[in-house]
Amino acid sequence: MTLHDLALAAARFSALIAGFVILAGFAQNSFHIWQLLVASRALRRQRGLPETSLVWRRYAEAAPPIALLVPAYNEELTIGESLRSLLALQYPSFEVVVVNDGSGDGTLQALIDTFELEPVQRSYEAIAPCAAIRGLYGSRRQPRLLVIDKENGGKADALNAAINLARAPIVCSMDADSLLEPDALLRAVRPFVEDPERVVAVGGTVRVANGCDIRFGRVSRVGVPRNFLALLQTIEYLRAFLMARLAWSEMGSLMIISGAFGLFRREAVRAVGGYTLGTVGEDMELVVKIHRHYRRERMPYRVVFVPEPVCWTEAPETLQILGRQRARWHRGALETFSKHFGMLFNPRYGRVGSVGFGYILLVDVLGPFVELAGYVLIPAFWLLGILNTEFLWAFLAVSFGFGVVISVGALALEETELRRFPDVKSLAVLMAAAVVENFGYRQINNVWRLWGAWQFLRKQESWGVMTRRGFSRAAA
Amino acid sequence: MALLTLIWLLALGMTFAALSWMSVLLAMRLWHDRRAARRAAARKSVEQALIALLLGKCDLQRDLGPFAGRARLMSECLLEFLSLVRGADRTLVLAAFDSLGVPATLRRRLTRGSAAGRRACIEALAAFPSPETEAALRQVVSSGAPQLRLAALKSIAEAGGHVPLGRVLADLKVGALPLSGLSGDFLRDRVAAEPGEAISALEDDLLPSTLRVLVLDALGSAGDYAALDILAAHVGAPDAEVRAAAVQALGRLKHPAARPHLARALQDPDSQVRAAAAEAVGDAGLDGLADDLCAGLEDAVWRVRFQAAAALRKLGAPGLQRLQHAAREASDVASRAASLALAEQGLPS
Amino acid sequence: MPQSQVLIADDDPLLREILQHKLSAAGYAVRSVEDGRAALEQVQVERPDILVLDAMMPVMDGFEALRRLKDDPASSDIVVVMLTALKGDEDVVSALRLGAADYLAKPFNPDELVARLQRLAPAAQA
Repeated sequence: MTLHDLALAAARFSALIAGFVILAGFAQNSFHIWQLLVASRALRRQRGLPETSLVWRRYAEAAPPIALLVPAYNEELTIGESLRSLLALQYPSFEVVVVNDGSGDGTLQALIDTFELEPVQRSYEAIAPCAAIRGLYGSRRQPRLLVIDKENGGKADALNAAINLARAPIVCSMDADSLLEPDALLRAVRPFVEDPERVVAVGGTVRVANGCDIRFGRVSRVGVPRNFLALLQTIEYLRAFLMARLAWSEMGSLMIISGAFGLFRREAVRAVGGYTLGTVGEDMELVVKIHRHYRRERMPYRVVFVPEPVCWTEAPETLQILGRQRARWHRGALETFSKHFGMLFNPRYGRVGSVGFGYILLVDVLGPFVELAGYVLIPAFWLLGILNTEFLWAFLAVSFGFGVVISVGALALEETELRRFPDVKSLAVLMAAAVVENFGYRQINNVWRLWGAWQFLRKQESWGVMTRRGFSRAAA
Repeated sequence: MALLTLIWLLALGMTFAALSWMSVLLAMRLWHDRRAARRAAARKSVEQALIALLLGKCDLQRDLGPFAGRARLMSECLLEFLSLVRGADRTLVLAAFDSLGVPATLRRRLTRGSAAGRRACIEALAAFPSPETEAALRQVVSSGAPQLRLAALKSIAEAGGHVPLGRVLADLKVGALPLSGLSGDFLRDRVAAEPGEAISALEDDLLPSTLRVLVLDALGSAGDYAALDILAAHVGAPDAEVRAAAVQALGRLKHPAARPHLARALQDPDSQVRAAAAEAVGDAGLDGLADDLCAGLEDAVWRVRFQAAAALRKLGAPGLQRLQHAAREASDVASRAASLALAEQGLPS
Repeated sequence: MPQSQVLIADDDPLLREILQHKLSAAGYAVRSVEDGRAALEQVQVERPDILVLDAMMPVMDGFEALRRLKDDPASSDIVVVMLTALKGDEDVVSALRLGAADYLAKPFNPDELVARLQRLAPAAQA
């Protein structure tokens, strides 16, 4: 084989790789644009935000009781105020089940002091595995409050304990630091009221609280983050929730309901045995288990997404913390994917198996590596002189164009249908962010995803030593 | 190089489209902010006029007249007001709206404009009963989207019009009305108004189970003893959910004649029915079944044990004695169910 | 003759305004706030004779505010009337147990509210 043949082979190979990368990118972007269209159609159908008083008038009578599940780990300083704001939610009938997950600080004492708790007993059925419960506390002053004191076990474990003790037919999982809108339950419960036979889970829109005014555990004025990273995440969240999740929900294959806010029919959680312990992405895993269960049993069911903002969460403002969060999310997605690998392209699971799992395979499992290959190979080809730079620039421009269209589109959805940002100025800032986001942030994100993939592969080999676990920040 | 040019055109086209989209959004925002401000101001004016009206200081033509033609605004303000206030002040406000011709404006809006606006007008019209209103609402019932139909039926009923239960059930069956919690609520109201119709509806073998469950549930709340026989007949239904609903309804009816049927349901093969039966015994206060409940404390299913213990607690002295006895003497599961039921009430085992 | 003071705590601006005017017309001196915490703060600043309290308010709900008010000897004798959209029996019972003098569900009759307030604390103090 001559040198010439070798060069020719390399050129063909590079063309093949380039073709694959281009095709994958084009497919992904077109899919996102299609999602944008689906989401905008769905949003138009339920045009405009009805006022709270209207929602109350229409739904309060028919609204089923809800149990709020609040896991708390070392929240001594904030738990009192968070709970007070939760207990003030606008909803006809709900209970708040707080779990002190073996905190090392005075979380339990703070609860006891604030609400004058006394030991109580409650009969319950263990439908989900959890660490040993040390005691239950109730308050004469707040009949809606139940506190569970248990051994440390992590967030999934704490939520399971709360699910066991909850008596309402619908449970709402959340983070101790989720900031809920006063009418969050009333809005999120609507699918359960409108389609009581089929709806088993409802996800709500989570938005970035940075830059908003927060008073006494709730967002009192919506604003735009001053921190640059948080600003980029604001756009990212709009895209993830208003565009992607709404579109997935329309397709009947929504697979993620944020751990920061989600409603589940307790019977559905019971059928799948609660959250799986020892996973990072327990929120996603639960929803996948629910899909799996109902598809296998061939029972009609729906997992629905509510686009109206119901929950706010503080986004990380430093690269280090954000990176850790993203790596963990990615690891969670990979764990769920590998655990339920059998659903991939399995006709029994319908669209969830084909489109839903197919998307995870392409975008989450392979995506970071394909992108990495691009970053490594392009300079290599360029050095070898077999790169057509004219085409390279053209394709970069196309992918930039797609990125901007999608980001602006997500912002447009929020602006035309929900309009929660206060003024023209903040809108302009967000639009600038929607453009800037396409330079660099995407690449950094890919690094974090690769890091998450690495963690996932290592974790497969050895289950690290068990340490006391706190809950990492809200998974969106 | 045509391909290259094409790619560049695509890229530039998309970027340009996104940028112009952004500018349009910004411009629309400016326009919208102004419109929203105008709308909020109009709403404020109407609310101020209503308050002035309550204090007897309102010049109708001057203060409310300019807004009387705006159907959605007027209906939303009215609904908001009516959700807060009743009595003489309500009558006062309705008379004022009537004298300004608002009902006619709302009726005209039923067939025009956005669905949200139509729905608000439908709901507001419930406050203005008249033959014209009923005719307009019936028009919506015969042609509107399911959600709007339901709202219209509700308004007709609220305004005193006749809405036959059979018609509602038939519409629910074919999907002309949405089968939702809201229609379930409406159904409950209709059944309470005409329990006799509900009883004959249940006699129809073709009524689907989902609707049957709703009607049974509603009959229990309606509290008409004439329903006793039909409820009892459903305790033997083939569908477990129907049986459970019938049993629950019997409990809420609180009639002693339900005793043999509840005793039978306590032995049902389906745990959901057994649990419902235990709960019903407690609801109806049938202390003659206390011993049957004690057997429920030994049930293999937690839900049944829990309901049996809770029901015993509700029965008062005879139940409490049995619970205390079970807490001391009975098997492990039964003793635990009994002592927890006692502890939840702060009573010693 | 000094007027009786009424404090209204409700997050609905329209309701606040209706009450403000109705109660003023009946001879009361009226102030209003929009949540439970603000109500407690206002009580510290200027002690009312009557508190008309909504249940579901942001920041601090009416039940919690009622509890705190009744716990504090300085404010425990303020007459509290609950005025709320919650219609459940258990809500009424728990409010009365906590020390509310009366409980009205929305929609309410303003004349009835005034009549009840007049009985609990007449507008013009003797």
